[in-house]
Amino acid sequence: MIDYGRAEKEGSHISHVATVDVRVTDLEAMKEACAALGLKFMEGQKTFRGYASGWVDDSPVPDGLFETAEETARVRAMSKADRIKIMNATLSKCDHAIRVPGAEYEIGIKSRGDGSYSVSFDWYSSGGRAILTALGGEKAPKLVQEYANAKLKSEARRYGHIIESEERMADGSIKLRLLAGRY
Amino acid sequence: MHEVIIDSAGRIRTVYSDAFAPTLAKLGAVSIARASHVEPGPDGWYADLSPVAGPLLGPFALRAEALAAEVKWLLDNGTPIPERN
Repeated sequence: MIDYGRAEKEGSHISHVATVDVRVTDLEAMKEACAALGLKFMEGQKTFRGYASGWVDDSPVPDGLFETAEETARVRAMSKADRIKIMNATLSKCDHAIRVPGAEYEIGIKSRGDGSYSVSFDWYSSGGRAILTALGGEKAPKLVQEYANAKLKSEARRYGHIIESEERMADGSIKLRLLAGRY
Repeated sequence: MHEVIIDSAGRIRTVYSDAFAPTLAKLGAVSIARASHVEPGPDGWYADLSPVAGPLLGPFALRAEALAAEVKWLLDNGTPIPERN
């Protein structure tokens, strides 16, 4: 049962704006986002290609890569051979990967352990430039936007809402028009 | 009809609605901020959209007209995000 009058009734007393900082939690929506951008989702791929998988120890171990400062200090104090081994293993690990047509490197999707996923890729070196272009920047805005679009539509339908229209705007945003159903 | 905008950075913004709050909550952390102040004046009702750097609309004979004008302005202007104090 859909109450088509609900949206209008609500319109008579609203005066707040809601904003959402999107977190990736839904791999199905991520697959849809990849398809929308012409990327290939590699489910279950446990490593991803990047400059990191060729770590040659010519720069310091970055802060924040390991869970604790103690662990970072331990890796920094290792022998070069051991450090190269652990850095390659750590930096190239992922739970799923994404391939970008024409890119030498790949994107890693890593579980944060709280139900959400991070998106990692090497944009600095030449092998990652095509990824940077495909994702729109270092924070992968195009991928996040398409993920948000897929997830929002999926959840809206789950709550009984109707997707009335989807419009790609000149400023790069996506405008969805929804009709309220049950909730 | 309810409009939701997903900007080019992947952030979502929309005029708040109870009907869509559970849907939005599935996407990530939701922040809600007041977009305007609808108050009576000496000659009618006004919608003050200064929280979103918008105009003062009015006067309107009825509060409902001020509220409707407020929502229309928000939608016509891409649902701007309120400035934080």
